Amino acid sequence: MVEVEEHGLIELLEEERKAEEMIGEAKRRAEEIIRRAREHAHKIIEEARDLKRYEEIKRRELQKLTMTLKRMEEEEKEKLRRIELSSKLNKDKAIKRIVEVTLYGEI
Amino acid sequence: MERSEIEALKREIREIAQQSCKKIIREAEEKAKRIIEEAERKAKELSENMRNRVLREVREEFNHEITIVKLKYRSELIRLKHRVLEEVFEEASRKIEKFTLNNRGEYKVVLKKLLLEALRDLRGYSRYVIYVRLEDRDLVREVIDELKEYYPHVEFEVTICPIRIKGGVIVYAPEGDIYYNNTFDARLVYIRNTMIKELNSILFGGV
Repeated sequence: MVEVEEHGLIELLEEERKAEEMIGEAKRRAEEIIRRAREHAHKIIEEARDLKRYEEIKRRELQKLTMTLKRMEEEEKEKLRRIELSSKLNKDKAIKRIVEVTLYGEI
Repeated sequence: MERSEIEALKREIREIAQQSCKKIIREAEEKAKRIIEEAERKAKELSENMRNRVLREVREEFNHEITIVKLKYRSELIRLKHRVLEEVFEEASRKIEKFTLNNRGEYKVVLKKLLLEALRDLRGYSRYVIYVRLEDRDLVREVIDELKEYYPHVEFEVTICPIRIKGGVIVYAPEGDIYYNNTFDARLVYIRNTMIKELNSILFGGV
């Protein structure tokens, strides 16, 4: 009876050792999972910091704004051209009005 | 302790260990998920901030360019308007001078009106000196003769204007030491100052 009990105790201790090993292994796996997650997280942040990504954004925005500026310049030139044309067409009318007021206007 | 009890205990130990292992792994996976999610959130925020900063820098630089272009065209427009107005006034001035030389009859009517305008403004004096161009002296004398019936007690003296004028009169009342400049030169300056809005509208469509 004593022998059986002793043997049983040894088996239980052995089982406990195996259990501790299993848990130890699980802890190592868990640490590995977290380590990999941290590495991945670091990579994600580094990618977000990568300036090359923003160079492209900058380049595209500059291209867009350059077009806007060019269009604006064209519009301003056109406006000047229209004003100059208008002044040529209406010059005589303006001269007539000035002469009229200078000679006959009540000032 | 019976054999069956030992086996039961061993099973229990295994089950507890397995559950612990599962829990450890599950917790680790959850933590890993949180780490990644946090990193993704930070990365998104960082990325957004960097993007906004880059766009802001580019736009600020560009706003400067836009201001320069706007100023350039604004000053070109001002130069253009100034040049056109100069030309228009020069031409008007030439036409007026030509009118005074070629339409003497009509010019006399104008001179009379200019003189009356000045006299109305300087009314109440008994003596006036009228400054005119040499070529207008006789014409103004004729006008004064016509006005004599309305100004019977007033003395008029016609004299040559010491400065070059395009026509019209300067009326001086020595008693009040006051004068009224109704020359075309003065009227053109006045018109230029007061009719600018109307002329802008005629010439440039109000731009």
